[in-house]
Amino acid sequence: MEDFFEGARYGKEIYEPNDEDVPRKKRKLSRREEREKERQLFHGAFKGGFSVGHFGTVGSKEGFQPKTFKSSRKDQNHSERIRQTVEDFIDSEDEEAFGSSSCRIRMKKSYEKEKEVKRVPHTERQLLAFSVEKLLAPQSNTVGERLLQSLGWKPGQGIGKKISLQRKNPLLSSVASNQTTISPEDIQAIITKFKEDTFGLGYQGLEKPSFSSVAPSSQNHVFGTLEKGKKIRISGQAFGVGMDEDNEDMDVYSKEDLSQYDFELAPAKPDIRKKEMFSTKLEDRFVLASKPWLFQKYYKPPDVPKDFKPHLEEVEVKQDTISSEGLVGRKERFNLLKKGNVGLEWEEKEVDAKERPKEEDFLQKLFSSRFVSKGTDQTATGIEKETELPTSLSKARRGGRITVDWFPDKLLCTRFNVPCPYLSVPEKKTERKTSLPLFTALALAKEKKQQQASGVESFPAPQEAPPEREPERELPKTEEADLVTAQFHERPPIDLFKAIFADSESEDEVSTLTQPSITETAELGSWTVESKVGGPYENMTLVPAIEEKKDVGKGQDKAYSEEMKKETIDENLPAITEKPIFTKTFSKQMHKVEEEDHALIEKGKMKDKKELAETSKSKVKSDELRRLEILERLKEFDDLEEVNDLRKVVTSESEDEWVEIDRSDKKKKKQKKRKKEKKKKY
Amino acid sequence: MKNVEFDSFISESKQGTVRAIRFNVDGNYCLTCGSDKTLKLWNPFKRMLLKTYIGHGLEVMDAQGSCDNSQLVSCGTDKNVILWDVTTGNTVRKYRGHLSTVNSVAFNEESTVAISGSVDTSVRCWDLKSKRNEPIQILGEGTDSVTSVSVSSYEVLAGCADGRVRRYDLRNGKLDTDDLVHSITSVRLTKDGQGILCSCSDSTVRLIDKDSGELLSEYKGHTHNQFKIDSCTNHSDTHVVSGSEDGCVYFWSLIDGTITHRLRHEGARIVHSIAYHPTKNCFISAAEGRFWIWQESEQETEE
Repeated sequence: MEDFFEGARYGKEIYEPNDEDVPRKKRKLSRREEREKERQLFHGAFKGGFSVGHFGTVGSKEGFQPKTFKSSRKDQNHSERIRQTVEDFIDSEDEEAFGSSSCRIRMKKSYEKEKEVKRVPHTERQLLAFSVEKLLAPQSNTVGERLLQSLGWKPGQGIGKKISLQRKNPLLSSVASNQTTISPEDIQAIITKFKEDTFGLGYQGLEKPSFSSVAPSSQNHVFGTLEKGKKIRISGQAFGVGMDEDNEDMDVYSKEDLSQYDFELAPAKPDIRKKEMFSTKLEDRFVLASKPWLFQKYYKPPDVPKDFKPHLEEVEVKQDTISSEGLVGRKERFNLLKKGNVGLEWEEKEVDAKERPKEEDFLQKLFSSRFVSKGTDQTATGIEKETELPTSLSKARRGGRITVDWFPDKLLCTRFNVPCPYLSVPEKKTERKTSLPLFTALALAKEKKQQQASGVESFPAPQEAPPEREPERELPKTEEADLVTAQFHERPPIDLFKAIFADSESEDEVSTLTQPSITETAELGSWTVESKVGGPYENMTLVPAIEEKKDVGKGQDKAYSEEMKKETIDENLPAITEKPIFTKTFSKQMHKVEEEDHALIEKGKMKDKKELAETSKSKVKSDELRRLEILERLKEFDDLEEVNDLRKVVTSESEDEWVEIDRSDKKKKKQKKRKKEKKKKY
Repeated sequence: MKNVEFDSFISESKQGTVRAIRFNVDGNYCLTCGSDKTLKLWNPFKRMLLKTYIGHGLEVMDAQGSCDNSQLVSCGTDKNVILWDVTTGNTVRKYRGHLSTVNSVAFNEESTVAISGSVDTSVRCWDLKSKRNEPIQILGEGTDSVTSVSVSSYEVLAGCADGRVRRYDLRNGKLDTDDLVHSITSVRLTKDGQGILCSCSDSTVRLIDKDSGELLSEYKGHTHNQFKIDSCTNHSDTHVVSGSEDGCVYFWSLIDGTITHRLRHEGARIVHSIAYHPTKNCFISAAEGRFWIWQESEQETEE
């Protein structure tokens, strides 16, 4: 492009950089600029001489000229006093930060206030705040105010040409009012009411009636006369409206007044005239009653015998600190009491023969220790009688020995090393704790009550199996099922888990029945199952391996369990039992299997247990059956997490595919950690 | 036995009031339960305090040592039943099931279960082997505060303030209730296991036959109206021993019912707790803040 240019050139070319171009270097610095830069960098160092703080400009044409000292003590001329500012001391480089260039310009205080005053209140709230502020803020007139005041304005007045009195108040019509002028009113700030509610636009609530307002007159009424000459007044929305031409703007159809509504649910009372209500005269407010007011019941005072001498006798009332005894009935005294007239109403009532003894009992207790019959001799002999009574009555109460059936807990029997007294009869009153929520527990209790009442067995049908079997072998299985202590509402009983996970164990159990008890533990995720294998008193308890879960619901559990404990102490309420849901059938199945296996063993065909496991038909059958059973049962627990896991387990075809169910959070965390670590490695 | 004299040694327990005093299983050591929330283990014969167990929230009401002397169980007003390790003094377990003050606690024969009786009218059996916090069983037949529990190899006895002794037979699955009318503050089996000795609050100690419930004998002469007084039989079942509210310990001949000894406790108003040695003719008694160790004096009997 330059090649073609033929004309003259003035000035420099405008440099328009393209995007592609590399930004050009800075132009070469002139000498002066170079020096300047150098000076800035080195602050006058490396040159020697007086140059501190002033870039070596001391004494030079352009530079700092040190001032000679002048004493200002004698100097009275303060106006000429040297006023030093920040700029005298700072370097040029600091001017940006501290010099006048960095100063902000702001208004002087006298002018500043005007800004704030200009806040116009728009809402009621703001107005309130504003007025309060005005009250509290120190009075200081603005410039404008001061100007106006100097011109004759007073605060509160309006601004503008003066107007006549008449114009302001049109009612006045005197000559004087026409002529005199007054300053106009100040313009009021327009306060808009912000909508702060959620009602529809234009909604006005019902007006609350006030007794001071003369309501009837504001309503429209139609007056008329009946046949008998009675005047009636009809009021309502539609009445008395039509011909009112004067008040055309009256909104007829939207009058909703709270006064039209009743404020209390009360039967229709005859209208009390307001005059009566608010009059001060007593006669107006009260009316003579129709019925004379009599005391409902009047009791005669007790008959005092002629020779009665009142004296205080201290009768020791036995108060055992340990027991609540002391109100043991004393028949003799009671009988004496009966002879005398006491005059209590309820005693004279006719009561059923059945109820009488109870009443008498109650009376006994009530009066025996508190009252002394008038007939008895009030001397020492009375006290003696008191001590005699207990022995005679103790005979009456002592019923000797009462023996009832009691069912000790199986675990308790085990701990005592005592054979359990009952075998086939199921426990009716088990006071074992489960952490059931209160309401399900109550519901259960109710169910139980109902079931017991109707005569239905409290346990499901499979219960029939136990009494059929021989006590020796089959017993452990049923007991095992009974002793499930898993949480009722959360997990299926332990048998289910056992059935799934402890396949090989069942064989062991069968063979070692006669052997002394061996404890086996099977880990099921976070739960360890302690099972006492063999022995007639197999116990199964679920022992959580991780304590965390317990702690989570501890507070809640405690509250509930406290409630539960209260419940169990009440004898009327049957205690809570776990329902072994379907374990009976399971054990039945297992038993059949075992029986078959036993038969095979006896025949002598199978030697090794492993062979048995692999080749026995019964085993295959049982496996399939078992799995089917489990799947069926799992349908009941569709909502549980564990179910899905179990399903996986059950439906897997080979043992290799068995999925590990892990319920522990720790394990998951560990797994996650491992995964992370693996990722990191790669 | 009639002419046996006892020598006593008084020891300050410094526990406030000693609520209960118990021998351990072999009688070499004794436990004192104090109102200052501590439980102390002593060698009474050497007059030595061996260990103090602190852990109760309120007064300790009763305690017992295990069969192997490795553990102690105690109960108190704080509604807790605590299982202690003897040597370390640590609390092994704390059972918080009771709803009110636990009056009495006992081990079973093998010390696998702790049985406690409380003011909340229940007797609870705690499994010491497992980690369960809930009792194995709650015996709630009582209608008033259970003041005393006693355990044998196959039965649990509970004495109640409603005047009834309940014997829970684990072997037969039966509950025998004997109504003695007056509040019972102590139940003990005789050494032969055939009789139940009950302290009743009408100043009578009653011996009833265990199997039939028949009242065999009554022992009177002491004072027992207000407080929890212990009673027991001596080591050979020849005498019945009881505390009293007149500051003495009474001995009766078991067969006769006649008072053989009346041992004065100097400076004590009420002797409420006693424990007899299992084999030797010596016993310990507690009155307020002190306890007495009584041993047969080495005088020759004239008979």
